[in-house]
Amino acid sequence: MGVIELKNVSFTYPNNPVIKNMDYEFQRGLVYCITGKSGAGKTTLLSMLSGIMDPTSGYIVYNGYPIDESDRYVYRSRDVGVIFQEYNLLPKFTVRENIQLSLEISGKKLSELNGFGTFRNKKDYIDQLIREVGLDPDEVGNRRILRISGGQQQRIAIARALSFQPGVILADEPTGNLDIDTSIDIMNVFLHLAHELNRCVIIVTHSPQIADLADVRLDLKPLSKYKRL
Amino acid sequence: MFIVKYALKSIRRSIGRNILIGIIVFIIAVSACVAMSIQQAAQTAASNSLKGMNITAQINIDRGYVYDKASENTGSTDMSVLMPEISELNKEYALDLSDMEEYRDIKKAGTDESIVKDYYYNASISINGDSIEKYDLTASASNTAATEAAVTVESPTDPAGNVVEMPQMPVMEQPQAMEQSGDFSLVGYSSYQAMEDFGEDDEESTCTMKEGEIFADNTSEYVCLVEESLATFNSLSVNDVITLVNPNNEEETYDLTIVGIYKNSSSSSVDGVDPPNTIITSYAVVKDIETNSETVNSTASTAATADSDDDENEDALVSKFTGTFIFGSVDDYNQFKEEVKAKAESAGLDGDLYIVTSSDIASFKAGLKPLENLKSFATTFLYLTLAIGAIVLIVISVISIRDRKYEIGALAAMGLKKMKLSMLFMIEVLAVTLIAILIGATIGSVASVPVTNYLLQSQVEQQEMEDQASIQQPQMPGGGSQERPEDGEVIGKVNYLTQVGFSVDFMVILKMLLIGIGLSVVSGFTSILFILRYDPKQILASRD
Repeated sequence: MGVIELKNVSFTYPNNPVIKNMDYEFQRGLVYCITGKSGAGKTTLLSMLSGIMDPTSGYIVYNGYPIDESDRYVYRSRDVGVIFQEYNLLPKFTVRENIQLSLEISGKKLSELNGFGTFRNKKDYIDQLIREVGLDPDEVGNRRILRISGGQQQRIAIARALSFQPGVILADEPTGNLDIDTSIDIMNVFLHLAHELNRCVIIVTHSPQIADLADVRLDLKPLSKYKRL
Repeated sequence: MFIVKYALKSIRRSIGRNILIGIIVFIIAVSACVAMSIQQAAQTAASNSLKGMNITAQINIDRGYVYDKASENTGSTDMSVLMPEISELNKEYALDLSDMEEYRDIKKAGTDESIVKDYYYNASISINGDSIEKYDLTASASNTAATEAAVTVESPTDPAGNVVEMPQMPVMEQPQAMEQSGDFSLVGYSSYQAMEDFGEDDEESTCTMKEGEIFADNTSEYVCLVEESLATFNSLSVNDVITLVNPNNEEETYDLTIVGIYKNSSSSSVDGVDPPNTIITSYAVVKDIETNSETVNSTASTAATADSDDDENEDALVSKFTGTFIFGSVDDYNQFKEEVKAKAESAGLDGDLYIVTSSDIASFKAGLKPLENLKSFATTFLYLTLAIGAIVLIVISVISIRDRKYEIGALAAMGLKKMKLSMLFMIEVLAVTLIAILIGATIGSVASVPVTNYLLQSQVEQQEMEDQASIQQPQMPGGGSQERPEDGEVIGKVNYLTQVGFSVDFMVILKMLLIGIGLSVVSGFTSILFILRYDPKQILASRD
């Protein structure tokens, strides 16, 4: 049984069907890359997996339970970490506050979070997350989101999604604004989460280099069954 | 807990918007505080002043009732026909000392304690001067501008109770004065306490001693006090003797020694007699004169009409008795009114025949009028402020929520429940509102006293101008705009309340707190309605 499964999922925007009858099982311990042309439904698929959007038909199962029946907020706050294409960070808050807020919403205690070592307090843990995405916490930790670059914002969005170490990490173009070296560093973080911490990482990307680093690559085509390469 | 922290941080990070909300709430708070202070001041002034107030009251015959009764008895509305009947009825229903003493002994329900705290009385006789001339106040009226905000005490009225003459107006015919129409009023008091108009430092007092001394309580010696204007007019001084004469019998004279001269600052006439023409003596002297007059004229009348069965002597001087009751509380006063009504009914009379009036309460109520007006204005202002404030806060909340739509979407996408999101916004609004209310209430409470007093002063000035205008406008029977107090109560000199003390108390603070919470709820619930309506997928999708 996969950690997250698509069961005959379809999604149709008004007069515009995007995904039709999709079935798939995502497994723990693997990094998935979803590729495809614009309009193929990559972001829509990610939104459905994150519980933000509901399928038009079919359903999505997480750990054996359909997510439309479970507490959607608990699912979003504890089980799935989402890295949005537009980051969706809170601009008036600092880097540390953004990450801490996500951690607080999840309700997870520091003792439950052992993926990146052990820490005395939340600040140390958050600083380690900032380091994991290649930033210096002393430099950016207290800066407001609007005061850091787009690339730094993207890394902070990743750090925020990792903050509560969810079972599934969904990332919409997580390396879109990063240079190739940093992108590879980020991918290594995802691979570490998948391989070492047994998480399921699902990434939407246009980058072939990033897709090549993934364990599994899914190519979406408009109104077609997914194609496993 | 993190919601509170986040809310407080959010307030700091959106300081501009929150300052705007704070300023609006602050203005509402200051306005509300001042308005409620005025309300509280009016309430406090009314209750506190009445609590410690000794209320004086009198029992009078309801002239309207007597008029109706006379009309019914005679079947006429012609005053020339009615007046003799009214005169008869007045005599029939007149209360004397023994009646008053019965009323004095009314007990509080279920106790032996008397309702009446104290009791005094006076009797007055209309009499002419033999050795003195009356002082004509109207002749000197042009020299004394009517600047005093006073309303006539017991203005002469027609039988229907309408005011027919105002102070300082040309003298009109007095229907009541037809029995014995003298130039002077000889008033005999039972005690110094009964001489209510006398006092030294009391602002209510209109009479002060200028020379000599007041006679002993209820002395039987033929002594008197005369008014300064009358004394000057007739070149009288202390120890001089004045001679008074029965208007109906020139042979009947009485000599009184002047023991004191007093000044009466009031310009209000009583029973058609100007204040300077009021001669004051003891009750015992007036009653002695009355008894003597009865004897003198009875003898003369008997000799003149030896074959008549009618022993009533129309030439004798007859005193008009007035008893004054003092009550320790308004409750006692109100109970007394009920008892008087019940007593009249038990005696087979109409319950409305006698009316209990108190110039203290009427004057007190009149004195509070500017504050009551201000209270009414403040209440309207308060509701208006709250309504406008609530609308402005709702608008700001709607704009704010629309601005923060993305934030709501992002937080919801991170799994923050709508309930917690709502709580977050509510805490923000509540914190800002309460801080603004606190500052506003503090400043409002400090400002409320001077602001209230300033507004009150304006109201008093306006009221005094209205009083002045109504004094200058003659009131005709059955018409006119001057209000007569409830139950025909008479108003003495009105001392308007012009100052209030510290009026913000626990109740005002509590109300302010409730207003703060109310505004927060109004504003917060507007936010919550929007939050509940928003869907993160729509927010984030629309952003994309």
